Amino acid sequence: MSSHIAPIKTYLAIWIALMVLLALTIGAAFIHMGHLNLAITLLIAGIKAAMVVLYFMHVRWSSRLTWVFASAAVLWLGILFVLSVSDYTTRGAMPEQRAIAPAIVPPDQGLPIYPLTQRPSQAPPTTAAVHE
Amino acid sequence: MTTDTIAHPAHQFHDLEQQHEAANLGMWTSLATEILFFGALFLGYSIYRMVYPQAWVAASHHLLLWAGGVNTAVLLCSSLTMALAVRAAQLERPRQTSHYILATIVLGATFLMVKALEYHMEWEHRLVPSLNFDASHLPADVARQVELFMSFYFIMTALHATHMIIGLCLLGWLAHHARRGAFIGNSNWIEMTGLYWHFVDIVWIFLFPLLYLIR
Repeated sequence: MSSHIAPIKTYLAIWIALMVLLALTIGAAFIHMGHLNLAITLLIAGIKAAMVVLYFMHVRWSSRLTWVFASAAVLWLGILFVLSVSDYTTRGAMPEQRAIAPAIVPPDQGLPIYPLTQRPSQAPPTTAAVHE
Repeated sequence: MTTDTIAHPAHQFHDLEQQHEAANLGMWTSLATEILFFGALFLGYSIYRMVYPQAWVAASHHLLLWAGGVNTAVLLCSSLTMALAVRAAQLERPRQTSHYILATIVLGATFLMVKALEYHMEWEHRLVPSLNFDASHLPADVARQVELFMSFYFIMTALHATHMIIGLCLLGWLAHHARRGAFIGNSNWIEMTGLYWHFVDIVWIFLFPLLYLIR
């Protein structure tokens, strides 16, 4: 077999690092830092996932083609998230949109989501706010 | 499956090295589809978390943090034993391989037992959407949003548990054959099952903080 055989020490070191990061992520959750909490949580989860992929899943010692296949999955996941989140976070960015229909969620509760079912031309003509 | 068939490449391959590379790429392709499969659920979760941030915090407090934490540690340990099983298989040590696989099975089963206990307690606390849900101590609209969070929780963790059960079946099959030296000279089966097992671990690495650790 041509596969790389890593020493047991490497696996143990990765395992210890994973357990330490688990303790860190639980600890960090109890310190209130606002939006920073989510960023730290995702950063730690990302580091843990990268360690599992690179060492336990042997990608570090695999062919370049394996790197391409593994990265493709992350790339497509990124496209899925970036496009979808940019849709939802920018709804209601246009004044006309806000005027046509009220947000499903009031802006003071969380991210306001505006329905996209109505276009300005279909709006009832009596709505004075359309000309705002 | 006998030793002389698996130690030689299948007829469409030049050699075992090429067969190993093909198996590896095939497995990664399959994992890519799995990542997008779970990815859609993570996306739905994320969007509703942005929409109902307070409800997500309230709902997360209803989950058993200790159970989630213990289960994460158990899964990380099972990934270690799985990596060591692959290593033992590469070194052609059949007994050691099957022992490490058995350790992985025990840890995987432990995870599922803790998960079952959690589901039981969530049922007792009436946190199961549609079937047994009561959050009347909260305002009606927040209760609906908490129910939505619990729907994400149950679908995502149950889908993850299903993957664990499939993994355990594969591992049981491997342990049985590994003990008899069936994978000497070609550890592809064990390596590919290892990739799958580590993938399931990675899904949990993201599920745990996103579900249990919203404070």
